Amino acid sequence: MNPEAFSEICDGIKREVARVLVGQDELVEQVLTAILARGHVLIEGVPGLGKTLLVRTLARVLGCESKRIQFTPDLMPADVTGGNVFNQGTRAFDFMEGPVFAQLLLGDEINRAPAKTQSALLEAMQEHCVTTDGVTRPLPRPFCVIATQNPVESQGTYPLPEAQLDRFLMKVEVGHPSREVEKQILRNHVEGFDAAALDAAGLRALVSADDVVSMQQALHEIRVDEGLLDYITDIVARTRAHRSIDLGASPRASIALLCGARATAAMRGRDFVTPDDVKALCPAVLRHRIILVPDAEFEGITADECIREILAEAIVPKSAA
Amino acid sequence: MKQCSTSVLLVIFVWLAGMGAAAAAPLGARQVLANEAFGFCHDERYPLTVEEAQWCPLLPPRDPPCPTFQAACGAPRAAKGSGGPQWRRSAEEGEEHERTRGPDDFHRDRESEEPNASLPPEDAGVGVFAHVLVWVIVAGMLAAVLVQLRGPSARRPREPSDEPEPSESEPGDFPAALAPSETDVERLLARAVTRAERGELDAAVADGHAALVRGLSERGHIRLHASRTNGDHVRDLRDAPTLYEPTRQAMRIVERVQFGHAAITRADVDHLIARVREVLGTLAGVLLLLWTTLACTADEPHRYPWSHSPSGTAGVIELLHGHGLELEYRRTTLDHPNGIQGITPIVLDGSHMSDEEWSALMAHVRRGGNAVLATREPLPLELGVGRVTREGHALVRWGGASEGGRPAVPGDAGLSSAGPEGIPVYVDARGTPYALRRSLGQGTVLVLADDRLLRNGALAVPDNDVALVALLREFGPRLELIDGGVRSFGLSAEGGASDPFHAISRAHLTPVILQLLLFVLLLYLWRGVHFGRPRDPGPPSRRRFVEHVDALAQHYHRAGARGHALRLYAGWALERIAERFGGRRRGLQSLASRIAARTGRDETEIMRTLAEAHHARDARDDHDAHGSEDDLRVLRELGQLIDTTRANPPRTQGPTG
Repeated sequence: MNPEAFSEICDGIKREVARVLVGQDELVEQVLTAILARGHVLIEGVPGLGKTLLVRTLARVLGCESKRIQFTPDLMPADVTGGNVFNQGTRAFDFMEGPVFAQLLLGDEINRAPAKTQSALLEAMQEHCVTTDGVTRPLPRPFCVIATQNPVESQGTYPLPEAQLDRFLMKVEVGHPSREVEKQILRNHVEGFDAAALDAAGLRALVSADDVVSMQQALHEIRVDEGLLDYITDIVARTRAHRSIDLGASPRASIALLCGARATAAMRGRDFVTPDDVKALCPAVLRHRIILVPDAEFEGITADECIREILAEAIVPKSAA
Repeated sequence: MKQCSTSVLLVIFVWLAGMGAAAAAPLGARQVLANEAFGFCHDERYPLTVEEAQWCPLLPPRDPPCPTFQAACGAPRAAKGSGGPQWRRSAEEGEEHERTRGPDDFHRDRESEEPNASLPPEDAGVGVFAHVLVWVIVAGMLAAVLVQLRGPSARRPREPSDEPEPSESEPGDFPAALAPSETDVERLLARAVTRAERGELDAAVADGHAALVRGLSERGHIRLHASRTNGDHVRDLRDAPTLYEPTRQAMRIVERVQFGHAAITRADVDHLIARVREVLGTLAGVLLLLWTTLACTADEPHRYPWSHSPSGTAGVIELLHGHGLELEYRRTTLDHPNGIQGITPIVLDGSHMSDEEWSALMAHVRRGGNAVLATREPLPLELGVGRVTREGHALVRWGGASEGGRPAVPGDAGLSSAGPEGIPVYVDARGTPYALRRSLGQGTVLVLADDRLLRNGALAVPDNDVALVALLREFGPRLELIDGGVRSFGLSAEGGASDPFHAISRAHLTPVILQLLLFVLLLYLWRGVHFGRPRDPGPPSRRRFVEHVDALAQHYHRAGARGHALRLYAGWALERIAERFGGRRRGLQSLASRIAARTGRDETEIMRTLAEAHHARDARDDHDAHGSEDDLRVLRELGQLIDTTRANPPRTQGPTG
């Protein structure tokens, strides 16, 4: 696919989503990047910031099917993946697909479900398939999990294990909108916008699910310079040697950086990756993959600060400095 | 070397010859007025005042000492009130005479529309320096702009034609050998152009890239570091819209070469270099702005120093200096403790002396001193000199003596003497004195009908210079002018400017200082905060201990480290409680019973709290640092125990988590 055409499509998608979701341009761009890079997104933010609306809007604009799971402590794995149900008519067990069989899956408050249920998503997220009773069933393509978790409440929650966190391509932190943006949201509602009725908003599908898959495959044509591979590995290696980091990023993080950078480059209309693409993605890709030493946590050091330090030391390839 | 020696000898010879000539002929009005600072003698459109124009009928038609004075008489007059010092305009406003004159620090605006009709005065002091500085800066900037316009390529000869023709370069890695080691922006840009002409497109792009980022860094727009990407540099320029877009375009080309696989063309390289020049060319814009500003100040109307006008005294002072007389302005009043012993005061028009000063002056004369009274103000009665009208401008020496020639002074002011003590010196055709001398006590007073003979305009009339020297020679060698301008500006007692701004204005430094301030402002706008020298940050203020504790508790709280906090607090609290009850070796049960006996609380509850604290203290380091809600409860209960077991229990509670 032509890089310029790729970029124009992405710009159109962002513009269409922005008609409904006001003031979340960065979030939309990052989620779209993750979808194109065949990754999953963990969104951390307080309720009411439009996370569900984002998924529904994106699904509509991308021509994909979306489903939503509200994770609760009593949610069972079969409630996610689906299960075999006896069909009295045929006197056989039929497989009833769970909500995971969707192209865009919103997992709301994923940290409220117990580890057993959370792990049910592991295979789906990594292998893009579900295995029940020995039978493996592929998930539709594209497949993207957009999970949310509330950073405020901690009682009655089950923090996501590191293994599962690593499955998310990026973790995006969403804050409250500015006053101007919030006023624009109110203005939209005054003018009759209803989040429950997206049809009335006149949203149109700019691409189809097949187009999205084609765009995902087109990313393989994005050139990555040898120096950039060094840059990525250098950054990830530095997370393992940083004094404030107990556990650094995994090789999966390197792959995530590479895929994300390719998607970013394509969205910016280029057929090659630049160091800026990598650098821009590092916070979102790395912040949930590193574990700080307790002393650093007590001192108030955050993962983002460690990443900033690392980026300030990593040598950019072919710099003029 | 031989030529140089010859030149030096020639200069010495000419100088000695000049000295000899000067020694042979004393300084005359012609030599004094040859100075171009006397604009009325060198500028045909010099604006004379009405008072100054009274000299016009007396000017000689042939071989005048002041060549253009006659022509200036036909030029438009200076606007009434625009010439001369403010003190004179305000003091004489409404009077019939528009006599305007003053000390050296006043200028007269020229009304002529021709900016280059005459050269600037040579002795304008700092003003001349400012003009020269402006033109030097203008020339330098013009050269810089021309260099910018021509581009570095024009300065370098083309390479031999056996070089390969420029063509599309093959995609590939950015060659490390081409990484620019040069740091000078201009040379980098020049090398980029040269390499582009050779067809080394990748290397040209590398040089252009280096020139761009180094140029931006040198101006403080970006921070150059090996960890910063091109995107970082572009984002640094968001506040500079004129730089942002061309830099972004240039960076796209650079990145296409560095990381892309598309072929780079000569057109791309030319586009890159054009963008780089566009970005770096803003320097020329700043210089042009500076140039324009300075050029505007340089185009001010031509100004002459007031002291060199026909109403000034600079020429007279120079003439008398040439004849061995020391003549200067008096900076203090005549009744000042410094006194006037050994000095001959010359009282000019507008001096407005007080009665005390007149008394001091007369006393000075009676003691054997001398004085020259060249003022139309009322004179002391004891002099016995009155005012009359004389006829004609020509004067002759009284008694027919030929010394001093035949001077001429405009106006009709004459003198009369009430007694035989007054001896005329110069008289008109009817014998009415213009100047007379009178002995008073042991001293002598020379009285002139006005001070016109002591003004520069008088030097334009033949024989006036000779008469002036002849009049004042016997009153030397130290003479002091009592001038209203000096006195009215508050210098009579202090001898200096009243404030710094006045001092700057008197020294003609205002344009230079304004230009320097403008230059600093432009530098600041150009370089931003990087223009100043970075300073060390100030030392942080010390915090109170309780603030440290509070901050640490906040960190624990944010980190959810309840278990960790309990472990530390439990160890400290158990130690304190055991110390207070002397039960370190008695065990928890004994401690609990003692605490219950003192506080009256339930012993079982106390024991449970102590046991939980003991358990928390001895927990392993790898125990869950986050803890649970129970940890908070234990923390609170331990805090209460600490509070209640004190000798003087406070009202406040212990830790609340």
